[in-house]
Amino acid sequence: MQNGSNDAILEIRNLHIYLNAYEGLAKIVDGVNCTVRKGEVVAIVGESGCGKTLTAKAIMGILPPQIKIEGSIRYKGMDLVALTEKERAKIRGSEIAMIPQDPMISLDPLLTIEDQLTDLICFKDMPQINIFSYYARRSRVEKQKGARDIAAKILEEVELTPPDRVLRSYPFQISGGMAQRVCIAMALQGEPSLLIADEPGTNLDVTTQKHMLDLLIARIRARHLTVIFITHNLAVARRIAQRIFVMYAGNIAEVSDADKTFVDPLHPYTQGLKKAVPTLLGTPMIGIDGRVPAYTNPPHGCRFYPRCPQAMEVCKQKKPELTKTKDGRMVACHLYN
Amino acid sequence: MKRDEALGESILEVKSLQKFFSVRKGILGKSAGIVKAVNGVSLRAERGKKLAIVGESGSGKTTLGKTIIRLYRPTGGEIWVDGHDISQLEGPELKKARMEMQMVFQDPASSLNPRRNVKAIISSPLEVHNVGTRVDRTKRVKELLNIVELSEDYINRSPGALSGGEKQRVAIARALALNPKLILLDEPTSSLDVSVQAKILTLLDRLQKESNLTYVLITHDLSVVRNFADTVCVMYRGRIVESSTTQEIFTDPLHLYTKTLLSALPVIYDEELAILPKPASLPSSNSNNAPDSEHRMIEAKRGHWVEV
Repeated sequence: MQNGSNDAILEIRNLHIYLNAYEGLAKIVDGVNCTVRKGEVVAIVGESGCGKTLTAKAIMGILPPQIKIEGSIRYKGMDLVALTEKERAKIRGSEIAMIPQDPMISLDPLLTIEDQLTDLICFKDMPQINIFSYYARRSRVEKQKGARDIAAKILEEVELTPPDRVLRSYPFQISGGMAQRVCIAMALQGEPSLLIADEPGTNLDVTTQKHMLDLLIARIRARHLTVIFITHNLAVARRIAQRIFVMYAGNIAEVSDADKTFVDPLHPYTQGLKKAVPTLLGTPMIGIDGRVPAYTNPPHGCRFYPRCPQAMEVCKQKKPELTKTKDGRMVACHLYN
Repeated sequence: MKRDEALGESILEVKSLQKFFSVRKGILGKSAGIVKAVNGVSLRAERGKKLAIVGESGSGKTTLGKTIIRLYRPTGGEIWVDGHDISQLEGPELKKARMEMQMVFQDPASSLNPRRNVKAIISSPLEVHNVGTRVDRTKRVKELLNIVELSEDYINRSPGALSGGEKQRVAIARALALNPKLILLDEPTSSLDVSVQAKILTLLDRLQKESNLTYVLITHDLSVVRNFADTVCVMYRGRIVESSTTQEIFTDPLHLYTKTLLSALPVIYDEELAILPKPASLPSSNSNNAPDSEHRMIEAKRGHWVEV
């Protein structure tokens, strides 16, 4: 089935995402290229509003229809963008799964955790079905598959023991950390090969967050999952990922090994981030001036040049391409061409 | 805690502060009981210094902050601000006392009224306390915008047209409007990006130095505390379990909970890992199931207090 480069599980080529906004056409994701190898954990870091979540949702195929996608997303050789909704539904959950950003919002407040889990187990590769066939099938399939036992088992796997209380609860009755685990359990339930984690743990306390990350890392190792981990917390990215993609305003600015990204950053944006991060070493924090550009009228050339301390004349004219440096890292900046 | 003469002048002194909430039989089917959100907290903040209160959600730190500026009425204890006990004040006296202290809230998106413009937002404390004429207030708003490094064009914008960092600057300008002595910062940067966070913290730092403000920073982000605060109080289950200078807390944490918090901190550099203590684990921090045992703090080292 593979006809891309041999060990790539996901290849994104020249991905553009447009949104029709009141102010005009917003060109949000602007030519993203990235390759994720099998069994690898990569992190996408960047400020809010730089297109991280949009990229993730494009991979999942869950963007609303008014958002236009151009380019190709090849998963195990298949171009996901060209697939029909029916074909995508088969992949979603069983091949590619996603842990959503805010578990409290993504869980249905009107259904118990048990209902949500058993629905997922019974109907996971079915595209939308109407309410009559839902009820007709539900009781039959539920019994056949022993859905409740499976649900209890997958909750135990994310260390929610004993699962009975959680199963009986509505989302508001459990804590944020527990809701996050339920979402992890749901994402892992279909035994996907590629897991997209969209800022998990952002709303949690440091101790709960650490617990959740430990759990996630253990599950990833046990199942040899390929993971795209989206976060704005650089320290979390450093901890979980092997490679880090730094994203700025819809572009990939830099790709390098996680241990190098912040020790020796190449792109001026990454250098700015490095200075902005509070550390325990007591180094002074310096922010980056300005803000993410308006996507309806983004700067020509490099999208970072209005904020860049090392901007040159060429940056205003020409968009830098993501190119390989001598030590195998990738950077999109005219300083290195 | 006993007053140490060698220490600087204190602007805020909290003595055995308590804030309990009663729980009624509700949707969770829990029986009626009492949540001891703040259970006997004593602390002091020196004038012109930055005090940080750290702890997990549910440890009672926001309740403590809100009680200190008297958004809540304390169940017991004393709050001394600049030599006056404000814990039992009411009506006009309380209003007067509040001019001295202001709060910057966690999420600027929800603490600024989306239907009012920047001018109305920043001048509202002036209106409430009847300071100056309309012309004076407009002048003051412009002055404040300059202080928080926003251009005067922002005066007629509404919060919806501002970015997260700009909104927080407006919230800071509002807190500064009455020239308070004490500002409570409740997670002022937790909803912001790192690049913006650094900018806001630098701004707060500058403002403090310029007008000798005192900050009480409530946060769960220890890396921010390390770079921002002078002294730290660690809060757990409604109580302060350890307090010392920032340097001390990070180099020699004594309480198990402080160690747990520190060891859970995700870090970027390998050098940081060396600083952190070994992982430890603790029960969860629901303040309502805290044991009611004797709470006692000892001074382990000079100025370093820890619960025993």
